Amino acid sequence: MNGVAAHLRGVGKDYRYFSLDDIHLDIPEGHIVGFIGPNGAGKSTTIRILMGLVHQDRGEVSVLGHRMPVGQAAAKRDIGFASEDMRLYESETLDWHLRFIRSIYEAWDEDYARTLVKRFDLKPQQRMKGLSHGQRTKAMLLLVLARRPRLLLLDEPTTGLDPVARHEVLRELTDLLTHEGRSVLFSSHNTQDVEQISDQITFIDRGRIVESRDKETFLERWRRVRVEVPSGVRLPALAGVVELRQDGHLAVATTNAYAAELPHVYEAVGARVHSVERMTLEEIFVASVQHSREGARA
Amino acid sequence: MNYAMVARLVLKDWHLNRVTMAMLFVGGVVALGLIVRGGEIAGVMGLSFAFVVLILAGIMPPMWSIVQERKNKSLAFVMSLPISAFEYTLAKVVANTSMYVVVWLAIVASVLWMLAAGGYVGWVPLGVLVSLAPMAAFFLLVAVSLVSESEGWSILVMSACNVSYSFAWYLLIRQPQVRADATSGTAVWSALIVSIVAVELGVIVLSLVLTFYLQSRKTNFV
Repeated sequence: MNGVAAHLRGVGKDYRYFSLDDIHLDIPEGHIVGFIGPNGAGKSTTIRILMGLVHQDRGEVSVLGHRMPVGQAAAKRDIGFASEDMRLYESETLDWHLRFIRSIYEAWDEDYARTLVKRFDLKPQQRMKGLSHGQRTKAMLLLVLARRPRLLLLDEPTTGLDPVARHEVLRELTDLLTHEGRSVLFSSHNTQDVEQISDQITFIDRGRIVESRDKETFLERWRRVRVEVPSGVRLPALAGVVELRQDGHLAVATTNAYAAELPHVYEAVGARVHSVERMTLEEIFVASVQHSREGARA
Repeated sequence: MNYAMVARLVLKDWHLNRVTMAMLFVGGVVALGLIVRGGEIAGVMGLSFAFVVLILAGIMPPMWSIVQERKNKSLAFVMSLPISAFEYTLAKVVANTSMYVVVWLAIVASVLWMLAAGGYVGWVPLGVLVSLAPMAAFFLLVAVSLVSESEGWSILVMSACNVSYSFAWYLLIRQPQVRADATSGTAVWSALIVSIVAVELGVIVLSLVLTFYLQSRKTNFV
């Protein structure tokens, strides 16, 4: 599973008030890539470029070996796409949608579809109009998952779901990876969801990729170090320390390149290290975005 | 070109518009029934109602299958299927055209046959001209709704076409030669009638060409 399901190289797209710029992104085969960004960061535009629904102004996009957007019809045979703002036909039943999608995809897994109908507690004869947001999302995911796509592009699929529905959806996505070679790009501004299921994480902000690595590296490299700084001691500026806040004798250093030597460096100049804390993905995301914005301003 | 996929999308639009089509069918039957019933008032009412059905047939399927699909956010669902932008456009044009042509042909052929059989054969050229107007408006609406994806622009085009009918018929019927030809008892294809029919056919062809051309240049589909 060393292949790449999709990649973007130097991709850009210009709108009147927003630009996606120089996007480099790989979705490795067999991995769930969490795509995190604030609202309006460019997550949806990037995913739509991967689908061929939005054509990039520059750069190269390849999905499952097809150049996009020209190869979109062939690529979409093996892509499952679901978006928070995508709707099924309100006047039709889930059963009608199931039959419609089944008639299109040869790889449609009827047994799995039936299993998901039960697991998601959906009623096939119910019209879409009468479904709650959570049921609509689960119906959409059912239609996407049962076609057994090689690549899943999910644009904020858990937004607005209650905790139980969110758990059900995330569990299915995790289970999906038991099928070798399937890959997922999962966008969200909910870092908890991404942290729970992703093994690769990419941050995007203001149309640019801020950081992209595997989850463990993210969690290992980011640390918050609380230090007591006696009078007359000045903490050195260290590479990898993205933020250093000092209030009186207490300082907090946030680093994205933590190494075991870092506390010793502070202690060597006379400071006392109180704690070295792991950061949650949300804290890492916020710190990373702020660091990137400060870098852009400088 | 994935013709099977295009066919599925066409059938899907037919299915989603089945109630509209049934209503148009009933409307068409009522209009033709009024004409068959005979008598001046019933005949005029039947012809007027048939024209209304032609206008509605040209508005409702495009508004439901193109504009509302976009407005209800189902376009992303359709575009996520294994189709290209060209195949999507082709499917929409074929679905809407087939829905419209079925209604148009049934009504126009029946009315023209009744005119000819009832001794009003002189009115046939004018009937062809009048019935082609909502067809031209239909293709214009399909083009605008597909290309602009805007409900506002679609309503504007639809309203402008509907308002222009009365004005156009008023100007046409004021021509003494047109009235004379219509009541002459034979079908006279005057230069004026042929020119207007040519303009109507030109609008249809131009709308289709522009639809595919502008869709091919579009870079955002949802």
